[in-house]
Amino acid sequence: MKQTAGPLRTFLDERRDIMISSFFSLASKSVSTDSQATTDRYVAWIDGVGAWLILTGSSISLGRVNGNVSPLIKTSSAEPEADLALVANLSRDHASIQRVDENYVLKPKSSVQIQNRSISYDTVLPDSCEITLGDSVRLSFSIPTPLSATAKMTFASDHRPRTSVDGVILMAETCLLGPSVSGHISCRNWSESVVLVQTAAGIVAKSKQEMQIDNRRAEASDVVSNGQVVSGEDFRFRLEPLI
Amino acid sequence: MNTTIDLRQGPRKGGGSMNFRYEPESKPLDGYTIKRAIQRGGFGEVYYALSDGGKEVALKLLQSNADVELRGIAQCLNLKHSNLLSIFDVKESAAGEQFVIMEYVAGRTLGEVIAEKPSGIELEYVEEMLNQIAAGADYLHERGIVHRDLKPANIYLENGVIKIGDVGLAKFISESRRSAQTQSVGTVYYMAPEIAHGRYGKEVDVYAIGVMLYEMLTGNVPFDGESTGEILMKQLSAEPDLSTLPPAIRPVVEKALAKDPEKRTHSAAQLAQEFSAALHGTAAQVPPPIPEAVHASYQDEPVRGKRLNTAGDRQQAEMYDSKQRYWQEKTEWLERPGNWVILAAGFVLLLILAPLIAGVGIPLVLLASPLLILLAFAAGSFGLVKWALKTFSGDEPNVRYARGTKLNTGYVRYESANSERQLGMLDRVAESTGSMAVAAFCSAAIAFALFATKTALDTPTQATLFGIVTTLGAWAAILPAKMWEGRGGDGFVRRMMTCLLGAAVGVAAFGVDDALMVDLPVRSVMDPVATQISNQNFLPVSLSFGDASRLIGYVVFFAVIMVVRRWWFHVDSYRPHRIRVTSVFWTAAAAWLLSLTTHFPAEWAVLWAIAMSTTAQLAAVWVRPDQRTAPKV
Repeated sequence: MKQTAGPLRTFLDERRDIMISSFFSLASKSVSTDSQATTDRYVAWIDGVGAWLILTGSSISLGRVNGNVSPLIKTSSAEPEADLALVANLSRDHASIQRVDENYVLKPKSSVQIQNRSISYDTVLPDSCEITLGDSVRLSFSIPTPLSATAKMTFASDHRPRTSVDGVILMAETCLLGPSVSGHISCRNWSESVVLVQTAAGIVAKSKQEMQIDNRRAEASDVVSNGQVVSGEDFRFRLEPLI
Repeated sequence: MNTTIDLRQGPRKGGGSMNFRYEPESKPLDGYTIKRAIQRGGFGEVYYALSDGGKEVALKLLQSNADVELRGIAQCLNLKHSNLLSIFDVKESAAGEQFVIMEYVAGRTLGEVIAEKPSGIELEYVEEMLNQIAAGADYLHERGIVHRDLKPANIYLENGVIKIGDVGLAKFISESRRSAQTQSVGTVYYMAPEIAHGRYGKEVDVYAIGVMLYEMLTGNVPFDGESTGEILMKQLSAEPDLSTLPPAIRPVVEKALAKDPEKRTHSAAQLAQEFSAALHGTAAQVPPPIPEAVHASYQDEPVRGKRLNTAGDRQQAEMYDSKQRYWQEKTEWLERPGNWVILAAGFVLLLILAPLIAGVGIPLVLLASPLLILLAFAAGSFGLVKWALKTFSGDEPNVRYARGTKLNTGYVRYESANSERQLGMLDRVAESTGSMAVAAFCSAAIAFALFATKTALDTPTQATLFGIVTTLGAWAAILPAKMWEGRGGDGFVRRMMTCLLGAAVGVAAFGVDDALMVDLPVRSVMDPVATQISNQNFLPVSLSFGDASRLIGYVVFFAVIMVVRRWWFHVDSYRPHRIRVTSVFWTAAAAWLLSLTTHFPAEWAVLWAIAMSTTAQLAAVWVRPDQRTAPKV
């Protein structure tokens, strides 16, 4: 008797749980907070793929690096360093890029060109263009997918930050890492995509694959932006926060 | 010899090839912090690391035959050339592993450059790269060193400078290579034929450069095959296909790829020289081949023209009739009950192809949707103008007959229309396309409203999923209804048809969900079926159990929601009210009940039902009661 009652019992319990939970989820919706005011900087070290500088926040500054400080560490000296600091002949605060809704506005403070045309006031960047800073720094700017406001910049000239990265992600809300060409960071040999999502607590990673964070099984809401090593069946990466 | 060849460049896809030994932030070597793995090469894993002082280096972890390889490296440790990747040092870790500390190159490999240009790289870049490769190789050859493993994956390109990697590593690998068991992927493509006889002169490097030259020019290797054995066999005996090369360059490549090392180009520098000479026309010109004669046949032309002329009038006359007959046949075809077996078969096919459609179709639809909406608008306004002309000119009565009208016998509940209604095919198409456009806007508005007020929809991707699927659901209601309007037909057959359409909507919903990675917690009630689908692998794309379960959950929900309601009745032009709240309510109630008996999130079920019903009713054409034509009873 117990054998046959078991499945029915669990079935009914499950129904009830679904009813209750659906009622509550209708009643109380979590309010997502928009914490885009400050820029956080991360380096995504991706095994077999490369390294990408990820900048959150709606406004990022571009300029040259400060004097002799150790790599990857933002200087604590009086002069603040730009969010994207390049080893190049630029001013310390050469320009800034601000995200306004779905658009990016380039605000020049020194010599800046878009598609080889000099600009002297705030200009909305086309979805795909080349930005020239100073005489020789060239950055390719693009918004890879219309599904996200996140933009990416790669280096068209050989100027880099102190340690070389493959490019810069201006992360709006999400950043797609995966095998598809329309992703933000192309990871050719991955079988599944990973989406980085910004939340109030930090950046979380979503994937269809099972993931481990620091070799423990990951929960969907686990934050990965504190330098944890995130790995799956055929990928591994680490988001290193830069001070 | 049966090692199968995978991709030519880079590490292999999947299969745990990404499981590098050291994870980010590990410090196997004193003074260096590993930041990430770069790749897995033929001789071990390569990592990107930073020294404590901040110097970026590449660390190569030697995995097998470390002693043998170290001897080779020691020989090359102090070589200096701008086209060779420098080796800084060799060090042993605390765990006893051998690391080679090398210059880090930020650029891409030649393999990646070639892969980007599948039809060949521009000649001047090829010349530039060939010169540098040859310079590096020549430097080695002059010092009595044969590289032995020149291949695109070993050659890096940074800021226009070629760097040859893995120098000194291949020297002692010959023993294992001959057995072809420990063959590193992609090396056989560049392997000279005399290696089969154990002969390793500098000619093998020239041959490899020749193969790379061919590959840079055409995007393909000259000798390709299914297995190592097949490729090696071709290296030994097959002649390269030079027909795709520019004629002047053919003899240069042919000489570099000569089977006999004695007849081959003598040195890498000579190969580069000959190539440049051929390119700039200083070498003996080879006459370009005579293009294949094009025998254009004009014989048929006059005959066809004549036939056209004589038949022209008749064709003109027949055109109108045939057009009418075509549409008549089409609509009759749908009416015949037996034919929806064919539709069902089509649906099964759709189900099988669903992941494919979802992967390719949806981005395509997203891209094409502005165009479709524009077309729908054009068709809709065309219909409007036609309707206005008809109504206001008054020369032709607008014959529409109402269904569901109260007759003397009391309320007649029509499952189907039995009146003879003369709604032309053009009207049907015009009205349905117009309604489809309106439905798209409607559902977008609803989705946006739900998202803006944070009711159920939290993220833009969820709102997109909701909107797209609502649109599809409304279309599934409107389209068949418009085709059936004013026609007789069995209610049961109609329900079955909408059920099939609902199932298709479910497939599409799954596809959109999958593509957007919303991962709505939908689960099938038929776990055995989901297990079957995920196990059997009869789909072109393999679905995990979770995905199969979700697919079934979606299909069941939308199929049932489309079968339990008389959607064609709700969107009929002669429905009592433009929008009837009771219809929406009962649809929502049905959805809620359905969500209780299946694993479909209740809030989504209810909201989807409300949105679909509202959208369908708002979008479908409605004729005001005072403008309706009374039915002929």
